[in-house]
Amino acid sequence: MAVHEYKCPCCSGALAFDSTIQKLKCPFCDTEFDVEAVKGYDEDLKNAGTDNLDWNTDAGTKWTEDEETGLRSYICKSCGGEIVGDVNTAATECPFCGNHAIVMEQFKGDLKPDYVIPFKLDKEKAKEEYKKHLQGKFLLPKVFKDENHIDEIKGIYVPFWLFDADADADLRYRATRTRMWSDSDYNYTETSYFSIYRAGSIGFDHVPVDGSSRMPNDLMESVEPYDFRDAVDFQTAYLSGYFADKYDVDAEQSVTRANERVKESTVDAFRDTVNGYATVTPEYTSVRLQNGKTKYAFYPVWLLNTTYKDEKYVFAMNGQTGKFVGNLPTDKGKFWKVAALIATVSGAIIYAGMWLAQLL
Amino acid sequence: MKRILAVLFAAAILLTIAVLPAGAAVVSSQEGDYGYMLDDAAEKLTPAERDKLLGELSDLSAACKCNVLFVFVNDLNNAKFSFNGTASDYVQRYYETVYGVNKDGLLVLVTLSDENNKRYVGVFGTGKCQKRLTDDESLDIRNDAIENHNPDSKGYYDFLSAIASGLKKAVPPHVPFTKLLLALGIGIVIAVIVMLILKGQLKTVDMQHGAANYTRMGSMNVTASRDTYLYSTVTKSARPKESSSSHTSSGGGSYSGGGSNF
Repeated sequence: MAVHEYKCPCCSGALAFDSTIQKLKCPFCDTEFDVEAVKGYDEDLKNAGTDNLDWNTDAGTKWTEDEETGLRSYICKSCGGEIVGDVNTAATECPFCGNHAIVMEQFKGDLKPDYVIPFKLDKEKAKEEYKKHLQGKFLLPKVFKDENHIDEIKGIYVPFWLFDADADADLRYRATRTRMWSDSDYNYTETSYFSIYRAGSIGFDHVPVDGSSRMPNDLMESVEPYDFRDAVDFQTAYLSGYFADKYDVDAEQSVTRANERVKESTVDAFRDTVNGYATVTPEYTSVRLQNGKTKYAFYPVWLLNTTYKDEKYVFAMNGQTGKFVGNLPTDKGKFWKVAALIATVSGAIIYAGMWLAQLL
Repeated sequence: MKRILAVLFAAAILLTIAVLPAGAAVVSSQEGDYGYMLDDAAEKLTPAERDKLLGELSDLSAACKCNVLFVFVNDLNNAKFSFNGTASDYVQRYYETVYGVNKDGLLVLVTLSDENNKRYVGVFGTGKCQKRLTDDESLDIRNDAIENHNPDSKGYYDFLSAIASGLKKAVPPHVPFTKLLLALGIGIVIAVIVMLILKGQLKTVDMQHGAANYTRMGSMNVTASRDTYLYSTVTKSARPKESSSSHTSSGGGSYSGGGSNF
C-alpha cells in the first residue's frame, strides 16, 4: 500500500490536520494551510514534469597533490555540514549553522600549547577602538572615516613561541668629552678620548615571536606587549567562540627573530650605563645567550579588515590590553595642499623677519 | 650824504652775508621725521643741478628713512664747528651739528682740498645706517663714482648723483635673493617636518625594536665597568674680529664707511 504524505510547502514536513483551526498545520514550522490549497499544491507536484538538464560534467580539475595536502575537511557535530579548513585550522566556525568547532587533533602531543592568554576584551570593544583609531588623523581621507565599514571582524588565538633566555654581554665603546674656552684671539676646543668597557648579564622572559605564517609579523609585533601574568595553562575550552590556527612556523625558524630582539635590548641596556660623554660610538659587541627555553602559547588578537579603493586594510587589537594598530590611507590631495601652504606661510614669515631685522 | 649812504649799504650787505648760512648754496628741508641738506659751498653746481640733486636727496631720505647730508666744499677751512682737522671728522661733526649725534643718517663730503691738500670724497652712515652701509659698500660706491662718473669729464653733478644712486641701492632695507631662497628653503624644511609628523599618525604597524618589555625585573647585572682615559687634543680657531665698519667722530658719534682721495 502506497503511503502518501502531504508535505509542507515550507519545510517539507508532514502536514497534519489541526482540528481546532480546521486547517492543515505543519508540526515543525507551525505554518497553516487550507485543505484545498494543499490539495492543489499536491496536484501540481504530481503533474510536474522532470527536467532535462543535461550538462557536460567534465568541468573542473582534480586537486593537485600540494593543494590536497593543504586542505582538511571536518564534519560539524551540530549539523553534519562539511567545514573546509586548512591543515593548520585549530578552531573555526561552521558556515552552515554557526557552531564553533574545535579541531582536537591540532592539540595532540607536541602540538598542545603550554599557555593561553584568554580574551579579556570583546568584539564591541574592538569596534569601539577601531572608531577611536580613526579619530584625530588629519590626513585620513574623510570618505574612509565616514564610510566606517568593517568587512570582517574575527577574534583569533594566534600561535606564539615564547623565548626565555639569559644574555651575557661584553661591549666596548669609544667616547669623547669636550671642553671649550676662549681668549681675545681664539676659541679653543679640547676633546678627551675614552675607552669604555661594560660586561654583565641580563635576563628575558616570554619574548614572543608569532608562529603563524598567515599573520603578518609586523602586525603581530605592533600589538605587543602582552602581560604574561594573565596566562593560564592551555585548555581547548578557551578557544570556543574564537578562531585559532596551530603554528606553521616552528620554534627553530622563530629563534632568529627572538635572538635579534634579545640582542638589541641587551645592547641598549648596557649602552644606557654609559653616561656623561658628548659622543659614544660602539666598537665591539658580544652577546651570548644561555638557559634558553621555548614555550608555545596562544595569544588573543581581534582582527578587523576593511576595503577602501580596492585596497584591503587590516587592523589588529590586542585581545588582552586593547592596544589597537593598523595603517591607514593618506589623503594625497590634502597632503600636498597643506604642505604647500605650510611652506609658503613659513617662508613668508621668515622672509618678513629677515626684512624687519634690516630695519632694526 | 652820498658817502654815508654808501657806507650804510655796504654794512647791510656784509651783515646779510654774515647771517646767511655758509653760502646761499645751502638748502635743507625736513619731511616727517627726517631731513636732507645740500651744502654746495664750493659752488660747482648750477642752480638747476642743485635743485635736481636736492630732489634726489629727498628720494634717498624717503627710501632709506634717514637724514641725508651732502657737503661740497673747496676746503676744510671756515667750519662753523670744531673738528679734528680731518675730512672725515669735518663731515661727521657737520652732520652732528645739524641733526645730532648718532641720528640715523647718510653723509657725503666732497672737498677739493682735504687735510693733505688732495681731492677727497667720503661716504658715511650713522645710527641705523651705520649697520646698513658697510665699509665695503661705501668703497664700492666711491669707486664707481670716481671711475665711471669722474667729475673731470662728467661734472660734479653727475659725480654726486652717482653717489646718491649708489646709496639708494645699498642702504634701504632689503633682503637679497639668496636670503629669499634661504627663507623658502627653511619653509620647505618646516613643511616636510610637519607633514612627516602628520603622516606618521597614520602608520602604527612596525616591527618592535628589541624586547625591553620582556626584560626580567632586576636581572641586569653589570660585572665590569671601566672608563679609561686615552688622550686629548686641543684645536683652536681665530675669533672673528669686530667689523671694521665702525669709526668714531670727535663728537662721539659712531660711523661706518670711509673716504678716498681722487
